[in-house]
Amino acid sequence: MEHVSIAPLYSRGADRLSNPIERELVRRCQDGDKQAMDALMRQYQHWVYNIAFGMLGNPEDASDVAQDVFLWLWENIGQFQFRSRFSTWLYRIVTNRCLNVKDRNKRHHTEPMEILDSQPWVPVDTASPESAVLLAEQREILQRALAKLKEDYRRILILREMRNLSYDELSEVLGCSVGRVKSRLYEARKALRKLILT
Amino acid sequence: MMNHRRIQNQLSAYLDSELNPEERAVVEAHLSICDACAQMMGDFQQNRQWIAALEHEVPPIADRVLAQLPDRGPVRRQFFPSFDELRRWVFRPSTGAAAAAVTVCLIVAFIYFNPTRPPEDALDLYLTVHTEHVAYNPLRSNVTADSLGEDMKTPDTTAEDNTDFLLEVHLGD
Ligand SMILES: [Zn+2]
Repeated sequence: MEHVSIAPLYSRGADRLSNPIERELVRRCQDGDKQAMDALMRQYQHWVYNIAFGMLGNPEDASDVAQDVFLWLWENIGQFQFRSRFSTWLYRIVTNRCLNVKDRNKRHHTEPMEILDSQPWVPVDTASPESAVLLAEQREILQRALAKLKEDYRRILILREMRNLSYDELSEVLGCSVGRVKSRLYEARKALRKLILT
Repeated sequence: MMNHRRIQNQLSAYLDSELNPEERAVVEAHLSICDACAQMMGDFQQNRQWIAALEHEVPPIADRVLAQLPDRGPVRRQFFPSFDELRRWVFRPSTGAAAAAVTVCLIVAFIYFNPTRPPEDALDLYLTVHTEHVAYNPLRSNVTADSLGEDMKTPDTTAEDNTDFLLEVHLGD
């Protein structure tokens, strides 16, 4: 995983760091404690996998990326310096890894992003069978639109809408200014809206 | 409506509650009277909900990884930034802006308080720079020198005289 960047030097304030329990888990992982690593993975596997799924569009690649990221983490967790939140550092690693995978896939074959959606959804409370059908339709439309979206736009939208990251956190994950986050989010939302409407 | 574009630029930040109260009020006032912008806002909200609902059940990733984890001792913790980090820090726009500001301050300080001059020269230079504003300055006026009266062509030195006088009074006691 060659393109991974490290926790930014310039994160500000201790309030932005991970909670104490999580910090302790990371420290134990650095000391070689597999139980701590197991706990950390269980805490994050859902989001690591779903962010990767959102960015890559299929369960196989998402699952591969999630496993790669955790294996990489076990060897390289010493690079985490407790200067940013652990979650933003991890999301940065995951999204960079997804971009690498897309680059690699693009070089090997040129067909557009495939949408394989045999994977079970997280159950959502649906009042009626009709609304369940509607939900399935929505997801279909959305995934097709997301697949056509620019890489940068898809990444920022998934991190913001799915994980609800703040502008500050987004600027940490994406390595750009808060002003850039604001304008890119607007462009991304406009572009997605256009794709869904057409 | 005259300001759709300006409002639409703010809609995304409005959705994220990143506007200050005044900006919010302007956006809300416009949304209440403009169908096009309200429609855009509605679509942004709907798409946000759709993406938030785009969650799949996770396969047993932690179990699979745990089975593959090699044993290892403590890893070396990095206390110092890597080259990549330093490079990113140095090339941040705010770092550049801070460096530029410091450079300007140093240059200005050097001109005002040039350490190679005797100390009284520094004060003279300071006064000259500041009295220039009240004296004739073609860059600051759209009136040409020729259109001014004869007495205006020579720089007015009364301001400087006054300053000297005031300084004398001040330093006298
Ligand atoms: Zn409008």
